[in-house]
Amino acid sequence: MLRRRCPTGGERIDLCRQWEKKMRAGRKRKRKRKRENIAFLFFWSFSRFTAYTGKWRGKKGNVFITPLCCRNSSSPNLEDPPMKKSKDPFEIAFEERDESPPESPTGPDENEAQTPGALTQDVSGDDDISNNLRPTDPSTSAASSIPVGTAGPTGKSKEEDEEEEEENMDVELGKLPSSGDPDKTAIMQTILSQFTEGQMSRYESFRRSGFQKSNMKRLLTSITGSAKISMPMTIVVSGIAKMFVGELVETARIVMAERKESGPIRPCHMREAYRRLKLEGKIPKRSVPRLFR
Amino acid sequence: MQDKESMNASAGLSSKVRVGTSQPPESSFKRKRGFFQKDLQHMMYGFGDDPNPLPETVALVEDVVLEYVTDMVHKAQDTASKRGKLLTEDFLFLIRKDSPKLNRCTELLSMNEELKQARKAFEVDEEKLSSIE
Repeated sequence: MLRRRCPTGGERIDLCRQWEKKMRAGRKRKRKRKRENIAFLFFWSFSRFTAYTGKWRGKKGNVFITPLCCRNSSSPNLEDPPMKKSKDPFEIAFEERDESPPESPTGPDENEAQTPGALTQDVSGDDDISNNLRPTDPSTSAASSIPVGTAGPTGKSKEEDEEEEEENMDVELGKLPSSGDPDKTAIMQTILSQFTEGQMSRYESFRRSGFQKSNMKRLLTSITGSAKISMPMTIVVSGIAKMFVGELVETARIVMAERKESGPIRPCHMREAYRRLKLEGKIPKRSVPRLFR
Repeated sequence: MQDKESMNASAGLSSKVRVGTSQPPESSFKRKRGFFQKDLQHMMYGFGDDPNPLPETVALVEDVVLEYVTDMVHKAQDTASKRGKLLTEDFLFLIRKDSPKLNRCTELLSMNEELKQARKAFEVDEEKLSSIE
């Protein structure tokens, strides 16, 4: 009769029968759902590897293996300097776009002499990335003496964050500073091909670093007090904050150069940089003075 | 913690309440030390600092950035109070004078739109494939 105990206690037979019917229907539904799930998983995993794109796509659509630009087998890197151990996806994309193979760097001294020359070509300096590249040059010449082993892990550990970060997707897909501008991409490509490993790891950190969207969203929610923070707003604020950090660090480096100091940036440099930015007016002033520090 | 307090006081920066050892609940937000620490280290290296920036510097930059973001949001809210809702345009209005930031933000937003379109197209293809099966 009843395989399980009826919740009503078995005293009312008609209720027991109704309950038994419900249990059977539920089990039937469960079996059907299980079948559907298996079918869905099969189709879903198949569609993740789409014939259209020819590669695996993650949940959010970001690419696991190769960026869109180098879908075809990438042309063998003719220069292939022994220094470049980690092939960045956007670096591959850069090399792929330019048909002519880049010149092989003859040595680190030549590179440092060449890169300022290459940078001066990029006169259309509205590009903020080129602005950031120029100040990094004097610092990277100092930084290149720093053992690169420390630079490697910092660059690689970022890859774990990458797959969750939508903002870094444009980097992964090989999108260049101004997509659709062949001159700029060619210039970028020549610059990037002449980077030393230290410079390349620093550039990689520059491109890939960013604030976590979830953290930023939480912060914005707590500041505004409103529950809904749209995704574009998070993206904009993260971008603004990152550029602000860039301004701070660059100004701090300028301060260090004036004081003729070297090594890591110290808080005193940072405070001086903050003061200078405040004088320039880049920092929003508080209309109401902050109480109870 | 002592030197951080003095450092903050001398810099004229404020710091919010620091949680001791208790775990903050998910809904409320209490700022712990090192909220942006890992991201900031990579970012500072990318912008020209040492591969391993000093922890005091990272903490200071974090304080500065949080204060900057807070002030920006308050200003944006002032602008948006007339409209009622806080929109992305309010932030863009705030940085209108700063052209690198403005260009970067418009680039990010357009990139976001492109990615959304690409993802939508991908979803349509996925449906087509599953329907073919």
